[in-house]
Amino acid sequence: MPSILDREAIVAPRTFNRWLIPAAALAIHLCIGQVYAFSVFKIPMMGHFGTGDVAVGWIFSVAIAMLGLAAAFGGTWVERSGPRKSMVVAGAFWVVGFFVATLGIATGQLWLVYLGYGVIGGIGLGIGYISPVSTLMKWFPDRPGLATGLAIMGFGGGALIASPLSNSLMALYGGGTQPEQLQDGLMQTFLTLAVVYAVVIALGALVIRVPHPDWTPAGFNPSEAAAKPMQTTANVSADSSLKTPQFWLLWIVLFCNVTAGIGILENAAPMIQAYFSEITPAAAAGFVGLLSIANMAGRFVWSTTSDYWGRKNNYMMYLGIGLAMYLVIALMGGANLVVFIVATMVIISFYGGGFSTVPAYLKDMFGVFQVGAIHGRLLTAWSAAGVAGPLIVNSLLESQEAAGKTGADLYTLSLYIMVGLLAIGFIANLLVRPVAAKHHVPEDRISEKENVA
Amino acid sequence: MSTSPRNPQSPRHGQDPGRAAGGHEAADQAPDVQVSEGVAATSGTYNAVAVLLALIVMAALVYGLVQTGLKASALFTG
Repeated sequence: MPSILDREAIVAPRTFNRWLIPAAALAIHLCIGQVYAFSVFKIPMMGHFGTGDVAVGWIFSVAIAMLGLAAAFGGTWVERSGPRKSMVVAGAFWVVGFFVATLGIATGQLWLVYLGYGVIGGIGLGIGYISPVSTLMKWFPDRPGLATGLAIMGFGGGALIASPLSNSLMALYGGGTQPEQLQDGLMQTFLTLAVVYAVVIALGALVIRVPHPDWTPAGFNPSEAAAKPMQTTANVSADSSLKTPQFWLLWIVLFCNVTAGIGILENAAPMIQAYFSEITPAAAAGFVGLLSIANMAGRFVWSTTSDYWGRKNNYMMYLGIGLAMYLVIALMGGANLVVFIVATMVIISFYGGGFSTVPAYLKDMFGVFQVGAIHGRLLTAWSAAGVAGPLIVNSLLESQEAAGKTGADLYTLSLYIMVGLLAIGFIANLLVRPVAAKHHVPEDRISEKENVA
Repeated sequence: MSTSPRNPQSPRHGQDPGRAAGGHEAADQAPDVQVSEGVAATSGTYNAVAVLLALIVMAALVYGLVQTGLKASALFTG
């Protein structure tokens, strides 16, 4: 008899309303998306632990690195176990990570925060990120882009919620908004967030369902998908996918798109001030907020449009128009504030869109069989870009400063490098073709694997 | 013959789903999650939890968007 966590326990009736499922997926993504708001803890933690920017910055870096590793190595397990069990395990790692980090804050042991938030929480991030994605695609076979956009929009939205919420909680518990007071509220804020995330993720796990094998959306004809040249009806296993050029081309596409986006995101505030000297720190913070909204909106809007335009065409747009926007900033960004803001918002919306469209792209290429596991492996491109993007921009920034450059000139070389990266991604996307039939898993083997699982 | 899309990860693929169609109605008096015939029932409690979660998610998103929107407005006023 299966446990209530098993896939068999959450098969929905054929009359189930599929629109109940996106909230469950959003629940976990909104919680783990908090990681993008970690910077709100940076100054309070530096004060609390009496340490510098780099030491605290490592907490976030470890978490993101663990995200990539957990998604890559845990993807197959997530596919086998189903969304409820994986959401519960991801939630447990995420919440326990917060508790261990709280212990570290209480005892003044920074290494416990690395272990808790970084390592344990990071595992929760990786498993939680991929856990609802393939399930949503199975619920929306007619609109996979919409489905993945809904889920992954939550990851962008998590930071929008956690950033003001964390600041309010630290001020509430610390008794004010001064840096020392925020620092005093750190421990209780971590505990509160842990409890809130535990409740919301548990509700999500309770609500999640997988579709009945004989269920199909009203008015959906699966044979229509077969008529589209870039959408397969066959399936490729996660292990076999690594042997296809398509996987590695998509890895390059994602890496280039994310690296280019991070280049702007990481330095948004100082960059706009360098381009426009009249911009105050408060206005620069507002610019960062605007980019966060563009990031979240892009995840939903662009992924949804990919259902109509096709995934490959969407990436042509992300990489091609993104490239043009980078050139606009490099050549005339400093001349007009509106042009600068619009161009950066477009780039960041494409950055978000790249994340949310890629699971549907993988489904088109490799089928739905182990798409979650394949997605997990592809996310190593995100980890690599998370290192490469800031490294490129920050290293060039230092070298340009050393060369005596100032203002917008500090960023020009970085922008041209991003243009080059986007061009490489554009070419890689152009080369994507349907996967050769020799990589397809025979139907009978898929059934055997199900029975074993 | 099923008319569903090939859904290789669905549990018990090919198993008789005959009772599933009635699962929804029968489940109205059932507990939240039942493990029977491979179909999880959806009770009134389940629907209430699902709607509550949807409301929490929407409220949280609105809170985040409003707060961030206010912060972003500083770009034009600050």
